[in-house]
Formats: sequence, structure tokens, C-alpha cells
Amino acid sequence: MQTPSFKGTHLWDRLCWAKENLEAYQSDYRVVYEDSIDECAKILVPDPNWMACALQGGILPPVWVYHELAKDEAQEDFKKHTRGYLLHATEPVGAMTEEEAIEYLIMKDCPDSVWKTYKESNRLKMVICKKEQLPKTREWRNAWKINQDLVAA
Amino acid sequence: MAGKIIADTIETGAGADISTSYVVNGSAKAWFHFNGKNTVAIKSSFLCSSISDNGTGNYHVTLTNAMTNTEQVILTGTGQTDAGNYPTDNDAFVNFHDSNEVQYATRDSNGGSDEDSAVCCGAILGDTA
Repeated sequence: MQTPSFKGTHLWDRLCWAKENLEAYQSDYRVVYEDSIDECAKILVPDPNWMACALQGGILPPVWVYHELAKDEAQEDFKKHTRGYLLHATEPVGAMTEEEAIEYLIMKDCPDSVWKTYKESNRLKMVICKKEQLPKTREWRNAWKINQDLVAA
Repeated sequence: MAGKIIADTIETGAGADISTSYVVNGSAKAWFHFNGKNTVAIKSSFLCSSISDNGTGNYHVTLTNAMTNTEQVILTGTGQTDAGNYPTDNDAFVNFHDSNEVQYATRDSNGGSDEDSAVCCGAILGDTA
């Protein structure tokens, strides 16, 4: 199905179109990350409707838009978003592969302290894996950590 | 049948006109339903980009279109299991971490400790950015 030309269309309306017209896509990828040494590993699960939008193309804004809005919200005098138009008026990104979509999602939904420096750290902070590779039960869930032996692998 | 209704106002049975934008703006802007037990899986959603499993009974939901600020409305419900004829107890607690992210926690209603829930639901009303 061809994505309509969504230039300037409110993102919420674009997502309504996608919900009506696209088949949700359940990705098997999971992103395991640690944003604090004192906390257990977190597991990011991609949303199936969002994945459908990413694979389709022409719906989602570029990821830098979210970073700009996050900067606005980090200001001390922030009351409400005034640059929401960036979500709606910026040219949507094209179709992504599943792997590219996961990379985009990491930059959108994982803390930047995790993905910006994951190559520089001497401790593994993030792993992309398949859901089958996660523990089969949630026993001791609050003690889960990334296996640092993976660094050598 | 295909068609399109274009109207600025809707008239109630009592003869009062209300703006159609009032109806559209009053609809839920986002919703989610996920299984927080075992391998966390999203069952149904709108306007969400991902869910993070942060530990026992501890999750956060990230939105594709941020809300205008954190002073919007979140409605929630939870159930300990998704089996049987009657809902079983667990409590859900929510908060906006920021305008783009909702923190969602579930606890055992009896013991008060964090506990995974099989039925984790929420809807967000208010203004989007």
C-alpha cells in the first residue's frame, strides 16, 4: 500500500491512517540496556504498530525531532511544548529495514547516556538480541544484568 | 459503504450545538495493553513506540507523539492474571516521567510488593504536542 503524501499532516493523524491501513508487525528484536550500574537491565520491546510505520515509510518524523523536543523539555522554565510543529511539519523519513528501525528506536527511546557512549565504555551497556535469547522465566528479574563476557565474544 | 462527514458542529438531542473538535479532542490520544509477565509483549496499542520492562512490576511506555506536557490524564487498569472468569487483584500506579514517557508499575494488592501483571492497560487523554 502506498503511503499518502503526509507533508504537514499532524503526526497523530498520520498514525491514525497507519492504524487503519497497516498490519501490525511483531519484531523479535529486543534491546537490553543498563542506564544505571545500581539497577537491573531493562528490556525495550518495539511496539508492533510503530514497527509497521517504520517499515512502511513516509509516516514517522526524523529522530532528531524527538531530541529537539527533549532539549526543550529539559529547560528549567518549560511549561508546555511550543515546537510540536517539528513532529508534524518535518518531512517524514522513508521506509526502514527492521534493523534500521531498531537503531532509530534506540536513539528515540533509550537514554542517550546509553547509546551515545556504548562504544567508548569499558562496560557493556546495551545488547540487541532476539526475544528467544532472553531468560525463559522472570525469576530474580530485579537482579538481571548484561553478561559482560559478551564483550570478549 | 464509503463516505466522509464534514461538520463543524454536532447538535445534541436537547438542541445544543457542540463543536466537532470538542469530540475529536476528547478522544483518547494513546492507549496500550500489554502482558507484563514472562516475556513482555504488547497486545494492543496506539501512539506508542515501545514498552520497556524495567524489572518486576516496573515498566515504561514511550509515545510516538509526545503530549504537550506532563499535566495530561492517564487512565489505568491491571489484572494479576488473564485467565479465569474473574479479575484478580493487583494495583497499577502511573506517572508521566516526561511528556513522551509514562511510568507504569504494578503491585500485589495484598502484600504491597512489586509484582508482574498479565494485564497492563492504560489510556491517555489530553493534548498532544
